[in-house]
Amino acid sequence: MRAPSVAGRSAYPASRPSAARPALSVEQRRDAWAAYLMLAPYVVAFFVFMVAPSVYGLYLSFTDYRLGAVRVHWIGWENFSYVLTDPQFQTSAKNTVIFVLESTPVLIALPLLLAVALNRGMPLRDFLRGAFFLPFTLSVSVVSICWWWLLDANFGPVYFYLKQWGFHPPAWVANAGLAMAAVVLATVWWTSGYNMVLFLAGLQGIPLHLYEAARMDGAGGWRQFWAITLPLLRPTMLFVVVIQVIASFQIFGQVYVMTGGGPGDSTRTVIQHVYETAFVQQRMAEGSAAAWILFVIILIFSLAQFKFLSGHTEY
Amino acid sequence: MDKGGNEMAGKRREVTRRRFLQISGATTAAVAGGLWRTERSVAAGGANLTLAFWNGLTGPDGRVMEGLVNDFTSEHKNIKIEQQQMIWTDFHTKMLTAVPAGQGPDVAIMHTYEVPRYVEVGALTEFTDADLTALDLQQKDFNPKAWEGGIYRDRRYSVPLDIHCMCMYINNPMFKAAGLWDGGKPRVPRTMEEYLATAKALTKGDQFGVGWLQRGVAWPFQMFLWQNGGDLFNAGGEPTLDTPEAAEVAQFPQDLNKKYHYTAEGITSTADAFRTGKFGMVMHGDWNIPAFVAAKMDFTVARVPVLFKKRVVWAGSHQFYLPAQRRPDEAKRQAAIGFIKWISDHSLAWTQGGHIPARTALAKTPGFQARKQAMLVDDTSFWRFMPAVPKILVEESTLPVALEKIFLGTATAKDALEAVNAEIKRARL
Repeated sequence: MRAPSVAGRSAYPASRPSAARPALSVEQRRDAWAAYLMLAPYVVAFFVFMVAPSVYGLYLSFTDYRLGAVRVHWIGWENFSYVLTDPQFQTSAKNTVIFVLESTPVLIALPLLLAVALNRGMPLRDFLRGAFFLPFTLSVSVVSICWWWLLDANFGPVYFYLKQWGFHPPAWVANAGLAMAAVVLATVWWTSGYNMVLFLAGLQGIPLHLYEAARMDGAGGWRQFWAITLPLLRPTMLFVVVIQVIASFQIFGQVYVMTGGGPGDSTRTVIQHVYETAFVQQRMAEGSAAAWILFVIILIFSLAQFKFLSGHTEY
Repeated sequence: MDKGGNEMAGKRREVTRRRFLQISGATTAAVAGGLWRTERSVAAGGANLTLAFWNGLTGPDGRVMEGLVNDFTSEHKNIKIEQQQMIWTDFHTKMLTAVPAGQGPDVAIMHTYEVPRYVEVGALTEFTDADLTALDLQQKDFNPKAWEGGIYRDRRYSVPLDIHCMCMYINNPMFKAAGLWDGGKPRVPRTMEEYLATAKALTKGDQFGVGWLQRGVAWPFQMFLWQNGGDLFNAGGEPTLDTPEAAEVAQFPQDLNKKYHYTAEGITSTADAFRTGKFGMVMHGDWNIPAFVAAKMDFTVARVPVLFKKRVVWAGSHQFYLPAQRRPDEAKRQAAIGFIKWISDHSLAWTQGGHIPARTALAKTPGFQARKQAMLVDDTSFWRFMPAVPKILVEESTLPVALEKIFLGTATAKDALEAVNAEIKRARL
C-alpha cells in the first residue's frame, strides 16, 4: 500500500541514498525522456505564464515602473518600504489573515466530514459525491454573484424569509463581521468539494485490515477515526492544509464581487490591494512589491506548516 | 536600462544625411499620398483599411456604439472597424501597455480626466488646427464645456462625443402615493429643505425616500463638495479632502442614514436601488436611463438639487482620442478623423445611451428633446468635470472606501477624510 506522497516528500523514508544510484539503462533513459516530453506542455506553460511573469514582477518591484512607462529605473527597496508602511496594505493584510483563520478550519473540517461520510456504502453515494463537488466547477464570479443575490439584504430571499420569521439582522454588506462571514460561507460552499475529493483519495489509501483489526479489538467508530483515520491521513491532511492556506491567502474574486472590500475596507484583501494599486491606480511597481510581500508571507506559513504537520506516517 | 538608451542614441547618430533625406522624402510622399487617398477613400471608397477602435463602453451604451459602427461601415465599405470594448480598468491597462509597444488602436474613447498619464508617456497625438478645419469640427458647433474638456495643458488631445452628468431619478408611483404630484409631474425638490421634506414624505415602512448608494462611486460627494465651495485637489495636484467643507458634505449621507433614516444600508447598485421601487429618489449618472427604460419603469429624470451653497452639477465627457503610433500612417489617421467626424455627426443616436450630445445643434433636435434626459442640458453652465490631475485615479479608488465608512457611521467624517487625504498625498505620482 502506498501512501500519497506530498509535494515531493514521500511518506516513506528513502530506502537508498541517492548518491549511490546506479546508472540508468538505455530503456530507462528512453522512458525518462518520454516522461519529460509528456510533462513538457505543462512545464513550458508553467514557465511562460507563471515563472517568467513572477520573476519579471519581482524585477519591477525594485523599479519605478508605472503603466505606460517605456523606461524604468532601479529604485531598490523603496516600493517595499512604501507598501509595508501603507495603512491600506496593513489593513488588507490583517483582513486576509482573518479570512485565512476563519475559512481554513471550516474548509478542512467540513470536507473531512463529508469524505468520511461518503467513503462508506450508503444510498446515493456517487450522486452525493458529485453534488458536493459540483460547485467547484463553477467560476468564482458565478458563485459570488449567486450568493450576493441570495443574501442581498434589501432584495434577496434569505433576508426576506428572516424578516418574515421576525428576525431583523443588519444588512451583511453594511456589517464588517457579517460581510466576512458571507464571504467565508460562499467560499466554503464553492471549494469544500475539492478538499472532499482529496480526503476521499486519502481515505481510500488506508488499508482496510487496520479497521478490521481495530473492530476486533472492540474499537468503535470514533475510536477508529481518531486512532486510524486521522493519523494515517496525515500526508493528505498536510497537503490539504497547505494548499488551502495558500488558496485562502489569495482570496480575491469572492470579495471583489460580493463586498468590493467593504464595508469600508473591512474585507479588503491583499490581492485586492495589489489589483487596485497596480491596475486601477496604474502603479505597477508598488503592486508588484505588495504581491511579493504576500508571496513571502505565504511561504513562511507554508514552511511552518511543513514543520509542524509533516513527519513519518507508518502503517 | 541606461545602456539600452545609449545604444539607441548611438544608432540614431549613425543615420546618415542621405538616409535621413530618403526617410523624410518617403514620409512626405506617404503623408501626401495618404491625404489624397483618404480624401478619396472617405469620399468615394478607395484603398481598403482597417481601424482599431478601443473603448470602455461595456454598459447599454456599448450596444448603441456597436450599432453606430455598423452603420458607419455599411456606408464606408472600404473601411473596416475593429472595435474592442472592455471595462475601463482593463482598457487603460491594455492601452498603456499596447500604445508604448506600438500596438495601440487607431482611435479610442476615454474620459477627459484620464488623460494625464497618457500625455506624460506620450501615448496620445494632438489634433492640429488643420485636422479640425479639414473636418469642419469647430468650437461653435460644440457645447463649450465639452469642447474645453478636450484640451489638456493647452493642447487639444480629443474631440468630444458627449456629456454625461448627474441627475435625480424620481420614482413616479411613490411620488404619486405620497401626494408629491402636481399637474402630471412630480414635485422635484430643489433645495436641501425640500429634499429632506420629500425624503421624509416618501419614507414609509419598507420604502425609503432616498436610495443612497453605500459604496461604489464618489461622484455625488464630489458634486456636493463643489456645491459647498470645496475641491478635490489644489493647484499643485495634491488632495484637499481634509477641509471642513468636505467633512460637512461627507456628513450628509451619514445623516440621511443614521439621523433621519431616509435611506437603507446595503444598497450597492443604482439598478437595485431604483428598479425594485423601494426608493423614491436616487442620484446618479444619466447613463442609467436605458436600463430603467428597458425595465419599463415609471420614472422621471430631474435636475439635481442644490443641497449646499451654489449650483454645481457633476459631469463628464466621452471624447475621441488618437493614440500615438510607432509607425504613423497618415491614411489611417485621416480615416480615423473621418470616422470621428461621422460618429459625431450621427451622435443623436448615441443619446439612446442616456447621454447628452456634445454637438449643440443635435441637442436642440426634436429627437433629443423627446429623450428623458433632455432637460439636463439646462445645467450646461453648472457642469463641472473631474479634474485631469495625475492623482485622480488614486482618489477615485480610495475615496469611496472612506465615504462608505462615514455613511455607515464606523468612522467620523473628519477622521475618514483625513486618512484618505493622507493616503492620496502619500501616493508617489
